[in-house]
Amino acid sequence: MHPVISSKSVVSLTLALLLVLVIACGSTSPAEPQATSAPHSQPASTSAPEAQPAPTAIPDVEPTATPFATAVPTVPPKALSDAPALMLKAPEDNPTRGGVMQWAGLSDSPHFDMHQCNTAACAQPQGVYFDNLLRYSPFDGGKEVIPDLAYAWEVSDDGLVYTFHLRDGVLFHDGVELTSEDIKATFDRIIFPPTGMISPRQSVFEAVTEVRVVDPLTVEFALRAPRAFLPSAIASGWNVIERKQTLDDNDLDLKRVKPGTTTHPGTGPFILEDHQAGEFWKASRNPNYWNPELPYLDGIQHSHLAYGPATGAALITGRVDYVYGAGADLRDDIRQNYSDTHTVVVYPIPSIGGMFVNHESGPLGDPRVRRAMSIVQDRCAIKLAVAAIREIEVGTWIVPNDPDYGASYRADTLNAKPGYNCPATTEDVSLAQQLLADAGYPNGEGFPTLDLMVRDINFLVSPMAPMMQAFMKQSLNINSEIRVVHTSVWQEDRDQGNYDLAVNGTPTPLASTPAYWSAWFTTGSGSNWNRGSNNAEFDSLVAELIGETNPAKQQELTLQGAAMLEEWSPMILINHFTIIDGFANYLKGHGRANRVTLFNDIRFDTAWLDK
Amino acid sequence: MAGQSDLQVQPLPPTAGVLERFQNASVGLITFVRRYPVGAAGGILLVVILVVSAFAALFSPHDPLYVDFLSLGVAPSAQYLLGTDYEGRDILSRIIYGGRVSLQVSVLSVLLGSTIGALWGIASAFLGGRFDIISQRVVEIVMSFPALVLAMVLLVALGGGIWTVIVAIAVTRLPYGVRVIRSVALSIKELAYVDAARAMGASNFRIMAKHIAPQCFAAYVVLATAHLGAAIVIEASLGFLGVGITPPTPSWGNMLGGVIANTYKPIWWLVVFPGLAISITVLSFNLLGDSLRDALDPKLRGR
Amino acid sequence: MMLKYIGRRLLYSIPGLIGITIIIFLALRILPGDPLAILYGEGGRENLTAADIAEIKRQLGIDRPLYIQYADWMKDVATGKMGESFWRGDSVSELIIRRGPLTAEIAVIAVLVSWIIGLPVGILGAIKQNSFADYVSRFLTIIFLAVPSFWVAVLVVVASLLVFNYRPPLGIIQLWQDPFQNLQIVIAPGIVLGLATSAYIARMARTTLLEVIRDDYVRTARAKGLPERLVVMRHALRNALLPVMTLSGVLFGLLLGGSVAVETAFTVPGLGTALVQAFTERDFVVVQNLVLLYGIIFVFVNLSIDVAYAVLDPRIRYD
Repeated sequence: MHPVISSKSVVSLTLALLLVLVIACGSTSPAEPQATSAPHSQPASTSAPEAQPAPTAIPDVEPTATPFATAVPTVPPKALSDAPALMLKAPEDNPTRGGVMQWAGLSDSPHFDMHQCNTAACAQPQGVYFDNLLRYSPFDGGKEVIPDLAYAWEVSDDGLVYTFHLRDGVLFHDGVELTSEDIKATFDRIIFPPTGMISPRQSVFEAVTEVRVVDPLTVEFALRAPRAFLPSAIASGWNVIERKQTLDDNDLDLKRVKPGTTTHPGTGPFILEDHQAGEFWKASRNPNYWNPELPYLDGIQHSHLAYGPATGAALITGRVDYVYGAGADLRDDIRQNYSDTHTVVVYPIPSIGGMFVNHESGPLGDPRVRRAMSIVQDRCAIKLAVAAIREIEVGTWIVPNDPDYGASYRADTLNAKPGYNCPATTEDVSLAQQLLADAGYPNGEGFPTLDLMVRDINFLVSPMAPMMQAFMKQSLNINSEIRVVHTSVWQEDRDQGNYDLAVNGTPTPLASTPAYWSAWFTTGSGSNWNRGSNNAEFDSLVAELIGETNPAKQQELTLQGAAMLEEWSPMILINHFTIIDGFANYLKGHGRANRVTLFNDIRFDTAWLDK
Repeated sequence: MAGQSDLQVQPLPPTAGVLERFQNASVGLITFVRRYPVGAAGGILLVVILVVSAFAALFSPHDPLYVDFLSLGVAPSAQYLLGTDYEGRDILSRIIYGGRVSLQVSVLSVLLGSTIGALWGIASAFLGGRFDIISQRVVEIVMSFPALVLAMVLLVALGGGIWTVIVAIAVTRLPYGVRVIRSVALSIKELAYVDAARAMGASNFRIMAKHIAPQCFAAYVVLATAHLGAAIVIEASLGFLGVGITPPTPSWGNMLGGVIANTYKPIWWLVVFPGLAISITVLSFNLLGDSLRDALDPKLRGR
Repeated sequence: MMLKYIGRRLLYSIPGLIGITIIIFLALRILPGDPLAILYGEGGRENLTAADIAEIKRQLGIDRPLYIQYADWMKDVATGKMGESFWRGDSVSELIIRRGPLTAEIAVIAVLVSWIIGLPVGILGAIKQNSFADYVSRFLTIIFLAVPSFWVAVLVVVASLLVFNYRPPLGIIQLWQDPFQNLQIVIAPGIVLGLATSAYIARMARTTLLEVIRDDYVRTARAKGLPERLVVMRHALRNALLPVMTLSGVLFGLLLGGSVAVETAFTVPGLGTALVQAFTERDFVVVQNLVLLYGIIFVFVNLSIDVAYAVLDPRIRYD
């Protein structure tokens, strides 16, 4: 067994902790503590921002025989309980206590059962009433997984058993103490949902065979294959800890039981005062919160405003302190006119936009054709064209949210690889034309007119489709006819293969690259909308990557996979989407200015009002 | 209009021939224009709107679905007279094509609703008795829903699509047809020649079809014209609330649907022009309808 | 006599109200979109097995025979509970109590505005028939009849935002909590709706007044040498008011429907926005109860107008 105390948001604490460990273990080389923390710092954001659930079927992988874990020192769990546990606090000195934060969100939760929900509409208003077993750090934009109700965890040598040590004396809102039975009940429900319950994140835990209670403050997850992203999956904002008693009392259905109350208690920093459907959530400070430092706020008023004039104007006129999901006009207004009082953050969400390709449709089955069509897309021009309305990120095969390789891969890709030059180069176009000629369609001769089906979801995808169409026409002489259709038609035609190219923009369930690839590009996956796409080599690479726990090997496989995708081009990937948040500068301690993705920090326990 | 003397169109006997009817009608039209210049202006405006909508392809400068990605949300200019929407589509063309949809929906729904309502009203008046009582109750029930809310309930039940919108609006127009035509038919029923026809052994159906229905026609025209405007407004409201005609097909209603939903600083040309189109059309319907009512059937005033 | 009349009218309205409930119930049960797709999001629905769906339907109580569901609803309505929202289980009666006041305020303001503006304009038009003022008022009336109120509402919202950077206060602030803030929420929607209905009132008032003025007894009064203003006020107006009042009742339906769109435009958290939200969420329990409420209000407003009519007009008999 090798112990790990994860931490890092408070650097000094971490260092002290590592020091304690090193001393306790005695026989470690200096490099190894570094390695021990590796599995804990992979924040695969296991979250689907909006409508998409996680239909991922992650392939079965045998445990790898030579994990790094053998080199790691072991410490008996006893030693851990004596170590100082991480207690979060605001990064600023002397945060002011008190005040009610006004928060403008979008639509209200459809129901009160977080485990059955997969939208921001649940996670945002209800997250403040709960804690998780582990959580994402609120200060680094949600990159790192840090302790929450478990103050420490450790992984067995073979990577098949995760042991979590719970904090002592954590109380639910009704005063009952948290035990490992509650953790087991929570994850049993998420991983092995009863009939009539849908668990959107079930597939992420597919390798977990059992959740075991060891003692009242220790719980174990047994896996049949190593999954390095398990801590990140656990930390997902929706996987809140429910009490076993609550689940039993309500016949395992919490859809109608308001959270943060004595009938549906959490352990979170806030207690529900009042909720009016579609109007607001009023939360007040939990005086018995296990972290005596937190929360600083006396309360949070979360109002549901219609997306549009209401949220932006409410922020600017000072009626709210924080706005989630604003538009480009608010972004520009704040940057131009309110930059001294307000801040706006634009961050990418794990998502993809572009053309899904029907591989069964004539020439589109040829990877050279798809790659040619992909290369001629001037992604940079598309980004500029829609900038006035919404900010998008140029799309690459590794999403920018991937904390490990996203940034570096993108740095290697943007302004370097064909299709990513800004402005587009003639070399790129010639390369694409050559590819098309090699496939038997010199100058697009004999190429059939394509049916370009566009999903009419918002004012962002529709204007992008004609640009994609124009680039194919002007550089490759490939003709296509745009067909804008309602969402239901889009889905139906997609499922029946009545399309050549299908334009859509959609959130992806996971930012973790292997899970993201598995969902969107492996053969037979429910979210693989590229009809008939089949690449056994890629499938086996993804399978290997998912089971891989060695970071160096992971990186190697990841870059290998990305290169494979560049050649293979299962779809014409254009962009990733972003979310725009705005907040008043006097709202501090929340770390949202560093935000890199959604739903990793939704608690506002460290936020405070400086006014 | 109230206060002016009513138009003297000779009431024709039910046996009048086609030629007489035509002569009567053309004399009526000239007199109508002279007597009711405002109503005639409304009528002319309406003809213009109808022609432009019917031949939308001739009049619209762009394809209503075409996206000019270099001109997303641009203000009115020489190229785009009324500007473009957030998706770079020409507002003017969308208004012209949207008018086609909106007018189609309103005309068909009013025709459907008023015709069924009128037939029902005639039957109710003529047959009387229990049928009449039950009919009146049903009409009362339907009328006790606000039209917009009733249409929304029906749309949720029937699902989206142009025909369901037409049916939903038609149902809200139905009770007016029943009520108004029933009262007209009731007064005709008492007239001597109906009694005469009955004495001669004519069947109920024959009396209704040959003697009562034609006499209700004027009231029917007045009624239908008066409700066209209302139907357009209901379609627009449904579109605004996001339950009407589904995009990307433009209608005046759904053009207003997203205007304030998507931005915090809405762009005014998205808001102003479709609303103006609705208002002008409804205005001309109302002007024509009022004058028609005064001319054809002063008894209906205020209904 | 009067009480008996009211009692009988109430009794008469019961079959109508039952009819209303049946229509609502059936309409919402024929083809209810797919509530589960709304609940579980796009894609989530497909992951449910038949057993899951059966279990969820059981939890929601939509697996039982229709007549039992209907009977349950009627029981709820009779006890004033009005049921619980499909998804979150919120009490619908609480929702109505909370949001109703805002909508009621808007309706009251609208009715007041429609009378305050509509009546004088109509009277003016009738007294000074064919004068310049008459033409102007008729012109404005006909314009207001044509302009959809929700569009005016959107224009007001956009203009106040762009020109004054103004937004009304957020959320529900009741009149008794903070009258000033409360009025900021309800005044604009009330006036917009009131203006729309005032045009109908003005037109009706003018028409009926003109008819009444030509009547014999007004002529007699005039012949007796009473001053013109007195003739209008005492004799003509009183008789002209009755049809205007009836119209006001009919218009109340228009107003209730219009308030749904106008509340949405102004984002007033009243019953109208709750109804729209329930429609988008396919929350049938909320929809059916709110629509029923609209029906009941409409029926009773018109019933009270009939009663008032009977009181004011001695020519009407109570049978």
